[in-house]
Amino acid sequence: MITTVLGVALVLVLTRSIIAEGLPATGYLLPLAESAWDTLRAYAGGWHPGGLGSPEPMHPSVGATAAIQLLLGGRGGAAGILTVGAVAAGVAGMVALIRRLGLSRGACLVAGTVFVAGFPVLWLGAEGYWPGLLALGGLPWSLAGVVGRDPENVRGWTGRLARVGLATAASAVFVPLSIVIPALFGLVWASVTRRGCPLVVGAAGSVLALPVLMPWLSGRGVAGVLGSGAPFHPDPSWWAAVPLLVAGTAAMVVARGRPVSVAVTGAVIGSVGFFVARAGSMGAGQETTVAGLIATAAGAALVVAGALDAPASLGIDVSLPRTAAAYAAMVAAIVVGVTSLIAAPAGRMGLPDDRFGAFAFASSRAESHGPDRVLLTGPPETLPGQHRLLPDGTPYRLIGGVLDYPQAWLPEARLGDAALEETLVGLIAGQELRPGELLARFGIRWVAATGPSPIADAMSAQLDMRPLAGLFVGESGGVWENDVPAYRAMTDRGVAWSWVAPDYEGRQAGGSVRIAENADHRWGPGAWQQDGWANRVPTEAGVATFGGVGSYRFQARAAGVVVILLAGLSLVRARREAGDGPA
Amino acid sequence: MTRILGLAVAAVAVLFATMQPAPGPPVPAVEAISRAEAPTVGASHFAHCPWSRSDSLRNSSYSVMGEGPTGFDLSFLEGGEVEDRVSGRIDTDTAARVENPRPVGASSAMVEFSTSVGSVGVVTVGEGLLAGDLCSGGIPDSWHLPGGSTLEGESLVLRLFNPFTADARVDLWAFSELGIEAGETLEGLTVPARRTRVVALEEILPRRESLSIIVRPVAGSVIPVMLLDTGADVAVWPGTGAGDGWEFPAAGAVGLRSDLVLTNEASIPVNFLIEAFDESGAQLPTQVGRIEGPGQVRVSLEGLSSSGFGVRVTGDGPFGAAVVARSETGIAATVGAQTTATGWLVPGPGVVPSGSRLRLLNAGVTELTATYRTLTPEGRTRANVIEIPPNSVRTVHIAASEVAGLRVTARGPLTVGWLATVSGRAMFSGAIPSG
Repeated sequence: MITTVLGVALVLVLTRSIIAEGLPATGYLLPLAESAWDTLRAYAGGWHPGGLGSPEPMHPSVGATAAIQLLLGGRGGAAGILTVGAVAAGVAGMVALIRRLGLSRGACLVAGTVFVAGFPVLWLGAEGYWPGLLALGGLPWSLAGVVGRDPENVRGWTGRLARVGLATAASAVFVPLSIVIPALFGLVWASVTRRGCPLVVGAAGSVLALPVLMPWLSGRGVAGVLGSGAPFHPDPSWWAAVPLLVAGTAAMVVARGRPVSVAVTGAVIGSVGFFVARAGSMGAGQETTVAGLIATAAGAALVVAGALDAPASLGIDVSLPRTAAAYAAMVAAIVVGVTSLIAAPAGRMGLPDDRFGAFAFASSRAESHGPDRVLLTGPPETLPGQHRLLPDGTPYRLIGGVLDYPQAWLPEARLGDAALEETLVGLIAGQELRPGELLARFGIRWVAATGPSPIADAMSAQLDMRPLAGLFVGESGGVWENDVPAYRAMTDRGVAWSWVAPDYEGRQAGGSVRIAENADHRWGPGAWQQDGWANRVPTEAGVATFGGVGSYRFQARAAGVVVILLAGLSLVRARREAGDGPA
Repeated sequence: MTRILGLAVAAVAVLFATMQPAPGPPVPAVEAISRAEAPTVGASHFAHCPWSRSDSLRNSSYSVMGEGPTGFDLSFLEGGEVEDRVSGRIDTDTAARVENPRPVGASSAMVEFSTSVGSVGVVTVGEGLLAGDLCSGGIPDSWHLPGGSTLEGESLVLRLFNPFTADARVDLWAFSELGIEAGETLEGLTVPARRTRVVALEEILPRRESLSIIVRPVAGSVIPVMLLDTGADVAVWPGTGAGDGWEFPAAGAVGLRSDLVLTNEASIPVNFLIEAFDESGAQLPTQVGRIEGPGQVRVSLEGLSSSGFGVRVTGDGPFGAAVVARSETGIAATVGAQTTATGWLVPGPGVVPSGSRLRLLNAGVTELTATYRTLTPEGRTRANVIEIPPNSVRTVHIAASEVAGLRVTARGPLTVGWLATVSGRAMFSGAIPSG
């Protein structure tokens, strides 16, 4: 009861600003799309709205957040509930894990705190990597399932594996490569406890969760997932690292029994995770380093739990130095726990201030057909989600008027993206006097600089993009509005169509409409024509849609079925095995 | 055993993790050119002409040339709007000539080429003046305009042309024989979008024998031009960026006293070497010197040669340069060529009624064979071949009044300019490297 009350209080303190004021828009933390159903349609083999679009599958977290949004309703509310729920589930899961490992209540609570608010998670929060926070909810439950008591019959095994698979999926859907953590944890715990079962359960959980990564994983390929995206490179402060190292080393050397097993397991998981999180220079990409950070968070929590219970594990026939070392481990663990509360005063899990609220100008200045595209440029940390780089290293990205979460990730560059890059290179080189005319072909109505950028510099010497005085979206930035009509979709007669994600809608008429999305023959309805890098379809239907990729659609639906199946099996067995105790 | 193994694994992992350097910034796929590094000397898709003048006694002509067939739009901006627009087309081996359609006064204009890069020159002829030079194609980070003066009876005007959509704010650095000139009137000058600001330097800094200006944009961009009116004649020359070396094929002519004025905006001094070349190919005296940083130097070229000559000036750092030549009745000025090339576009020579002189400078050590082809709006061309000995200049008279431009090609690198005189008045002009 006390643990529950303290756990709830901890979650409320850590997330009170999110509960009271909602989530800021920063980094990958973007508002959910207006229509969850349409997002799910696009997710299931539909059109990726990032950049100039692509048939490439979207990040699994887009499908997961849309599904949860569909269940909860609302945009901001769903995102807030999802975030607070993930933190609460992370604390509760870590408490359950540590309790199942047979350690004290204090160890449970401090481990829960370190897991959701330790330096790895604060690092992710400061970077605005929202999916990293959401992944906290499932992982400890998955690990708790790995160390649970072995069932005695097939039904028991079925339920346990389903729960581990479901919890692993709940984490992997946000941080896909965290799918390997249960298997790694199972391997280490099996080695420490000299039991084979945890390895089997952990590996099974990872395998069962694999379908939720589809169709994203099949679209990008394993090599693409491992190495793509700008990697993180956590650099913990000494006050976070030194106590953790002291706690882990001392506990591993002097503790006995379960605390030493937990500390050793945590140290191995955490240190390997930390190595992976800093392996960007070895080719590890964003997804890999994020998974490393999540593993580091779990490992740090286990180390702290083991260190806290180190003195109690020694008994009375122990030398003074050993006792002193055990108490040193405990003190260091307490220091780690206390320093983890550094984010508590702000009450929003280390997330920075809102950065993208100023982008609302695109909606307020939109014409009747809706907002067109915005070309963003500036320092990487000031841009939402992923960005592309020009050959000289200038970061930029497109957003489709209303900024939303499905646009956070950018698909692989295609024809249109190459054409845009060429245009921007010419613009920077001072070769273009009328960039508005060129950018209008891409449906770009605004150029917004969130900070210093060569593109912004080039905007000082051009003729057809008007600066919007007084409108700033970042320091040393500016916004320019295209004088040339810049529509994402325009008919032969110059009439704009509206982007109603993931489709275009407009007036039925004769002729065709040019869709400024990367060329793909599945746009329709009717006869599709390639117009340079873009598409052209007949206007008779009054709508232009992407026909979809059949295999991706099947995989997305199959993933949904697997999740429902795992959830169903978990519920059934949960009732029967309510009395699970420590293994 | 488990403890030891766990400790070892953790220690190795942490050790390797801490040894990992932060991932480096992405390596550029190709070397990109930034605006600051972009060459400002070649043909471009646009040209800005901050000055021309027309009234009942004077007329300005725009000579428009393209690397290849292209359309062009010539827009005159006044009061923040495009007041007049002239469109045309240049085919292979043609050059266009457009008379200034504005009725009275000074105009600023810009030229946009549609398919090919090109170049534009402006020549103004009439009572009391013969003036002209190239329009600016690129926009450097800062503009050098050496060579002015505000002696009694002279008028020195800086025109700041902002054809763009954003207001510009610039600081002016002025150097005279008194050193660096300071004053609030030289800082934070606002040039509204699509307008031209006229700065009367003879009112701000009167009675300066040598006055050079560097225009440094603080926000936005401008295209400057300097106008020096002696009462008997007017010289006009555009701003340029800084370069490590300059060649002036048209640096001196019989009857004119030439000065080479150099500017340095950096804080480090620049040492320079001036070499002169005339028709004889003889070794002419060289001059060395130093431009204090920041500052200017005026070097007299008088007495270098009894005939027409060109000069090359090289430095151990970037600097700006202009040649100003005077006689009792005339004044001419031009900026140099920042690079040698085997092809040149020369807009404007046929505009002057009494004819012009094309000047070719071969500062190399091997003889060059150059072909110059006169181009007219109607496509009538005439090609001539000329041999240019090493270390010498050659001058060619261009008398045909229908010529709107010349295209020069050579088997080796050279620089090209031209000059003209009418009734004692004079003008120098540069050319644009092509190909």
